[in-house]
Amino acid sequence: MEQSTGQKIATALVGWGLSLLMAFPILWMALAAFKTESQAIASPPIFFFAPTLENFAAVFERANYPHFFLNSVVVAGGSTLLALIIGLPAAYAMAFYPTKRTKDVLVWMLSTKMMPAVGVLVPIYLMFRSAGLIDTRSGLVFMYTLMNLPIVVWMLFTFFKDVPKEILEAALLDGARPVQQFWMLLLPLTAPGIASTGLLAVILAWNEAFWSINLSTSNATPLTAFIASFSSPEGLFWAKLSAASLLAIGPILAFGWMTQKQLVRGLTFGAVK
Amino acid sequence: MSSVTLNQIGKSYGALEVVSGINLEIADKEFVVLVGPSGCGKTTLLRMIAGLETITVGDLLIDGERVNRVRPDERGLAMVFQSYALYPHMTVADNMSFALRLAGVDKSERDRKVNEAAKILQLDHLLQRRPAQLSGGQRQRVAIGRAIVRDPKVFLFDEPLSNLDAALRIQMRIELARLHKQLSATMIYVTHDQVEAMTMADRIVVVNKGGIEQVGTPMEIYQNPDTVFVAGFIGSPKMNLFEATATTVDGRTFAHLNSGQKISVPMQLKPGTQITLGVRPEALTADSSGPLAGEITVIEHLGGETLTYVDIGNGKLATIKSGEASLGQVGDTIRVSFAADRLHVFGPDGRAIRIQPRH
Ligand SMILES: Nc1ncnc2c1ncn2[C@@H]1O[C@H](COP(=O)(O)OP(=O)(O)OP(=O)(O)O)[C@@H](O)[C@H]1O
Ligand SMILES: [Mg+2]
Repeated sequence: MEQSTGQKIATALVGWGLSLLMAFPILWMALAAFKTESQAIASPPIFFFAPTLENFAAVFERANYPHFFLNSVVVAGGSTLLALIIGLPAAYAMAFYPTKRTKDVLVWMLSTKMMPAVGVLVPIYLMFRSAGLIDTRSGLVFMYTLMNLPIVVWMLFTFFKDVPKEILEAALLDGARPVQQFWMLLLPLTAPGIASTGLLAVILAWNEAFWSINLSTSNATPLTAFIASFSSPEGLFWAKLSAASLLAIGPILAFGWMTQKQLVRGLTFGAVK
Repeated sequence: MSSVTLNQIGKSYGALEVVSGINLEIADKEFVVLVGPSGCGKTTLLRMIAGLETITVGDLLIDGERVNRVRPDERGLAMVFQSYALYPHMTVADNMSFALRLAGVDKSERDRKVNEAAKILQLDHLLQRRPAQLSGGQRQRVAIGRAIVRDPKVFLFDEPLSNLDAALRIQMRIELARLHKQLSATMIYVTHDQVEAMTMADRIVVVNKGGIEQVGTPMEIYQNPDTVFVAGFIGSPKMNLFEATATTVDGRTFAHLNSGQKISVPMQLKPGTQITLGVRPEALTADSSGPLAGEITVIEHLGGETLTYVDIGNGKLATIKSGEASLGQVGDTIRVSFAADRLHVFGPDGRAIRIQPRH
């Protein structure tokens, strides 16, 4: 459909307006990170000021940022890898060798995501304590793997389902065993989907706060715990909290920015032509 | 030698029986076309032969050996799918050599076979392309090439031309017939298009509701349909079929058409028998002393031939196929006749009652 110039401008205005509205809290936080504490809480809010890096200096001085950063990388990366290793064969089996109960299993898996996490906090905490997993990276990797598995399996399942059945049947007639079908056809055909599933799992694990705060205290704390540590003890310091938050979400925003093409391609890729 | 034998083959999904009692002998180098309406079980039958679907009952023999439980790739068959089913991430050459690669054939031999097949199918210049960069007809040829490269005992085709436009379909039809001669291979071809069946088959197998209606050469089936179904399905335009009741006057049998008119029938029938009369459109001629009369309602000029639709009562239309000249004008009433030996009579069970053997 052809749009007139007026319509184009209107669409652009609405689009930008909505985007700004949604991004506003983040933008405001980014601004606050470069203000002094008094500027940060000033009312009416200040938009123009001389930026300062003193908040970042203070944050770095008080906390060991690289420690948190490394934990986040290990926990998000490790749990994603593990979820893919478990999820790929699971989704393969469900997509190509379904039983009468496959659909039920899928729905049940997804339904576990509908329950508030806090509902199982006590049993999980107790189990983690008995298993010696409290405040360990492997404990968080384990937790995040479980947390992401339903979504990972669902996404992989839909990508596998999109592969036309005839292609695999043709391969069967050509003499490909299931393992060969998996490596030579399914993986290359669904690579964009698998990649975006992995990216999404990394992002979800990176941003997870509830379990990291409850199951880690010092050794295994990722960046979400790093932010939390700036919000509690000495009352609120908006500017420093903002600086800490910016440092925590910065890497994942950059990661998301760099991989956005891949993410969108994977999530919108339909029938394999 | 590559013959295929189906013995009392049947397929059920749970309690639902979709194919039953199939008996068929397919000889070496034969081109057999399975034809039938949508949902009659053609694909299911082909997939059972290929090994993609388990056989519920009966025996499938290839070269005399029972292969019900043999893996698809070990049956020595190649299948061309309606959707082509090419591997989208591989080049044309890799698509065609995939089976050989899996079988451990070395590179130079693979290349030789791929090039050979590519030459037959005129794909030489496309070998390095991906399927997405090909036209429908080219994809179809790659799918056939993938089958040829494997040197199969039997080729299976499932409606391979149905995604192509009319002109390309005719061209590929000719190419497939040529290929059949060139490779002198056994081919089993599924289609719902009776023109494809008539033009390509050595023998046609008409399938209906999961069973075989009739097996024969195209001309046998065209000239002597065993059932009303086959009579109506094979041939274009369709055979004229008139439902009627048998009556006897002075010892002669007449068919009292449901649409009102009466025709004499050259055979003895019990009065009151429900029958169906069939006459091919080209067997009907305008004839002022003919037994049927009706008003011309539509005339279609197809260039070399003309189709005239005549209302023979109660809105029942008879189709007449004639040459270039019109038989009259819309609104005219004409009389129609046909040679007695061009009349088909089917009994209440839908089976043909032979007047006399026709050859
Ligand atoms: N997996 C299945 N479960 C139950 N019924 C099935 C299954 N597959 C096919 N059928 C049924 O079997 C019948 C035959 O199907 P088939 O695909 O063989 O028809 P077809 O003759 O190839 O038709 P078309 O010309 O439309 O391709 C159909 O009625 C179909 O609904
Ligand atoms: Mg079919």
